[in-house]
Amino acid sequence: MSHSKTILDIVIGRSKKEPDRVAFIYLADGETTEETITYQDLHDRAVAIAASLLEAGRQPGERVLLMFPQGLAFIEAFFGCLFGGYVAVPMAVPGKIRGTDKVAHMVSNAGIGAALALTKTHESLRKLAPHSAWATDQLHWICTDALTSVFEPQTHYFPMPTANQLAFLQYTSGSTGHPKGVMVSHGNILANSAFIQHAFQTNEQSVSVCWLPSFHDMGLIDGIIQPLYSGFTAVLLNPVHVIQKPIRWLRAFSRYQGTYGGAPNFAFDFCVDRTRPDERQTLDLRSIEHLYNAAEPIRAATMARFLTTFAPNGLQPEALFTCFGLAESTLAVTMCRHHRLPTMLTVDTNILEQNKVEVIPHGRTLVSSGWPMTDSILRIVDPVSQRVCSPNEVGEIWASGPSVGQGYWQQPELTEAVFQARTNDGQGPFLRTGDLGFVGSDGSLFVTGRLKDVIIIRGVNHYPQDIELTVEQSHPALQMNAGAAFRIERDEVEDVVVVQELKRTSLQTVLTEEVIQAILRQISLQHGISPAAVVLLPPNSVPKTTSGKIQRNACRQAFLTNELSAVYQWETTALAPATTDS
Amino acid sequence: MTTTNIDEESIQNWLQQAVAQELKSTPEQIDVHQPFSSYRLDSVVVVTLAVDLEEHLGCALDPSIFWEFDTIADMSAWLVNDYLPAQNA
Repeated sequence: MSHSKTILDIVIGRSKKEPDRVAFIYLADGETTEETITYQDLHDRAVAIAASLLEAGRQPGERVLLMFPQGLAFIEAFFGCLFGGYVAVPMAVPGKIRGTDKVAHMVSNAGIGAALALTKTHESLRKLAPHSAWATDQLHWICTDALTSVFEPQTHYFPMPTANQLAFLQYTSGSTGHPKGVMVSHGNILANSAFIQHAFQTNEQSVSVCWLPSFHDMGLIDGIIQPLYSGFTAVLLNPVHVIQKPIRWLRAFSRYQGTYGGAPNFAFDFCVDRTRPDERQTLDLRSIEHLYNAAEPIRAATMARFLTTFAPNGLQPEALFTCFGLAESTLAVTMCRHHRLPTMLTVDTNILEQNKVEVIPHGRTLVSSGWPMTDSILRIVDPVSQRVCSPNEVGEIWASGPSVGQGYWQQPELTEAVFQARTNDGQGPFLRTGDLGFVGSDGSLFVTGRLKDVIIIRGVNHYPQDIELTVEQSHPALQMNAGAAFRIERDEVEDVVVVQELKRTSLQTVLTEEVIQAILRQISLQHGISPAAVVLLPPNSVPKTTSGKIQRNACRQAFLTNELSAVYQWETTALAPATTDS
Repeated sequence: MTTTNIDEESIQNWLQQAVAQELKSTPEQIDVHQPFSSYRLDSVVVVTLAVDLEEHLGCALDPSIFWEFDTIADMSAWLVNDYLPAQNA
């Protein structure tokens, strides 16, 4: 595979060498209903899709929307785009109540002209958003399940893309109104795939079990591309099925003797808290060699209880690893190695809050996220002065190497600021990850916090701007541009708090209970989350800069130290706990 | 598995039990007239509740009903008076 320029060369190679080998098994019911595809079929279906885009007059380099539920059809469509020389733009199918606005913004931002979907998805989109141009006549929709054309090598010729060419745009960053499409090239895909393979030594005998959504960087790069890169069979599940019953993920490991997989921290807690002893009894997890925790902050307690709970099922303590990454770097920035478990340190919490690291015997346990690849460099940098930090200082994590993406689609200024940063002594260019951390004495990275405003709950990104807009629009008594949504940590678990000013004209007459209910309802409807607290403030009390910008950090500080002069503060109903453990 | 003789009270009790279990509390603490939004029911929890309720009632349910009805009492009334009769018709 060392002569491969792109993942397409690898797919072609596998379809020739092992045409009938099963590439993917999708568990359509999360349990036993298998849908499978071989290397040959994947190649042929993808090329047929590429041909259909060509026949529809779409030009190479065009961005094509992919809107699929979890499953094999997405994989065919993704590679169809790549074979045709198009730039794939995968997106989640928007839900009933929220998401259609976001799609409109991304379609516009990426300049999308054509879309691939299943017939049933397209039909339900037209019903869901009949007034949205993108769902109806603005885009050329091709329903991939309705295609009957067969790949004919003589009539269809697709030039192989170069390493520099864009493969896809990843829109997981950015708020609804300001989406940011990370540009991932073919070279990025191979570099990051090589890193993952090197880290865990995956090979053709590996078996992965993945439920992360395919439009998410982890679900795509590790769940779909890595198995193709290294030549092993991947079992895929729908995230909804696993969230409903986490035992399904573990059962799949057991049934297929899975060796490899990864998930965000909350999923490991779910496996412990939401599985029953009788369900766990029949699991055989001895085959697992590398299970990694990534995509949201890692908790030592989570990993410990997961290992304890599943040790009776044969899960080895040497099987649990960690990684750190972000879409802006394709996926992985640091990973453990197959023979190097995550390092742990106990540090003084107060000193950590002052961005310094002091190792003490009994403190907060931090778990490292591994080491960068040999082709990449990490720097810990003061985000304000751009000075490289000293070894025991916490700073912003900066990264450089062939996995770093090409920038944000058509946002040259933001691209320069984020992807081409230089330290104050001229080192660079680096990607600014927006995450905070330090490097331990063994060279491993510890991620300790976040500079960027994004709030991550159950592995999903939530942007404060989006929540703030929802809140201020939820009730007429609320003042525009006078609220903040910020994250807090309770027991090392991330949560969101909302503060919001009332209008001067509403102060005397407002029914605070009614306003709180309206806020909670809209946040729940629009974002699917439930805040830890909502604080209603009098006019002109939200901290702002001189230019009128809301200062979220100052709000958080004031909230945590009880210095907000609240008109009314609501906190989630505290319930007395059940006395017996179920 | 269809369940016959479902009335509002039995659904309310079921929901109190289910919500209490999710929140690691006791059913007595769950007020059927208190809005769902005052409990920590995020979308992940709602999906789990909807699946279990589906199994209990024996018919398909859209998780979005947890956001369309403010309280357990309201949802139970709708299920018994409007939704379930329409399923069996």
